[in-house]
Amino acid sequence: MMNDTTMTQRLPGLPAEEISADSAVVFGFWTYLMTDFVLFASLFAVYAVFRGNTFGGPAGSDIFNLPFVLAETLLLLTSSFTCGLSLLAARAGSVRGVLFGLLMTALLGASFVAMEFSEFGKLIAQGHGPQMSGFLSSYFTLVGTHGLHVTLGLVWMVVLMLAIAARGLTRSNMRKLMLLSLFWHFLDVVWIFIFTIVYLMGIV
Amino acid sequence: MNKNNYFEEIGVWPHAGKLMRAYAVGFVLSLALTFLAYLMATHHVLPQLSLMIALIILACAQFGVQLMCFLHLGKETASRERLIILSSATFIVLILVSGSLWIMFHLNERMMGNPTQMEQYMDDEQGI
Repeated sequence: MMNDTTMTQRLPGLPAEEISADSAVVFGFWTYLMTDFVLFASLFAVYAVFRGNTFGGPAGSDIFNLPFVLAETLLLLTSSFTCGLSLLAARAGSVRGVLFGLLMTALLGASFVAMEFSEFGKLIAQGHGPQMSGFLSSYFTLVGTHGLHVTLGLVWMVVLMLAIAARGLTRSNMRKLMLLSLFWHFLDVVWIFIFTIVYLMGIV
Repeated sequence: MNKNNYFEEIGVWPHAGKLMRAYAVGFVLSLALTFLAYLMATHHVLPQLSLMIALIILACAQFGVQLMCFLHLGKETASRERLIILSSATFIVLILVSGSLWIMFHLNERMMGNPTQMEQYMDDEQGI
């Protein structure tokens, strides 16, 4: 890594190999996030191509409930903020603060997933399922893939909360907390584009 | 309560005071941009094309805000590698998205219309 020397200078207490190993883990996880970024970009491209192919069925402006989606957006955005707060608590060394922050984040994230499920359920119940048109297939794939990521993030969060409750803020728990926060903020970033390109531009 | 220095040791994250400010600023700016985009879209403040462009610009602004404030990509030396790989991923994404849209909409243009029009087109353009 290019900044090995600056890092060793900064860390009197810890062996340099461990530091650069953990920095490498962050870099590796970031690389995974970037491949996920490419995955979402291809789903966005598919959606943009199929957007008008409604096959006589409803278009986006017929089925999107904008205030509902705005509420989802606010939930996810706030959860990103509370995730940041739990990182601050971790820095201050407060186990209870971290657990509280993660719990808030998980509750907000779970409400987001619940809202998305009810939105999907309503659409399918009205006969607008993913098999009805190219538009609906690409819509369900794009939004559903994001929802799946959020759900997996929630599972990770619960497991990490149990680990922190059991063993405290150990080095390995701190590292996982840092990676989880990257993952969670990344999902919020993807959602900005879903909110704009799918929902807002769908009604314009 | 002991202060945990892990983030400073790793050198990836900004220091504590900056971190709090980053989250607060990021949250407020993201909220503002979200509401602005929402109101602009629901009130149709501009003609369709310019509104779409404005919405994309607002989304990109929020993308930048969240990269800096939440994902901590900034002037810290340790974020340079992450910035490099983000740039290459963005490059791939731009090729992927603009290439797909270009090809697919071009294809739609060629395939539009009824068979008679298509025959006419082939006669005119290719002399078949």
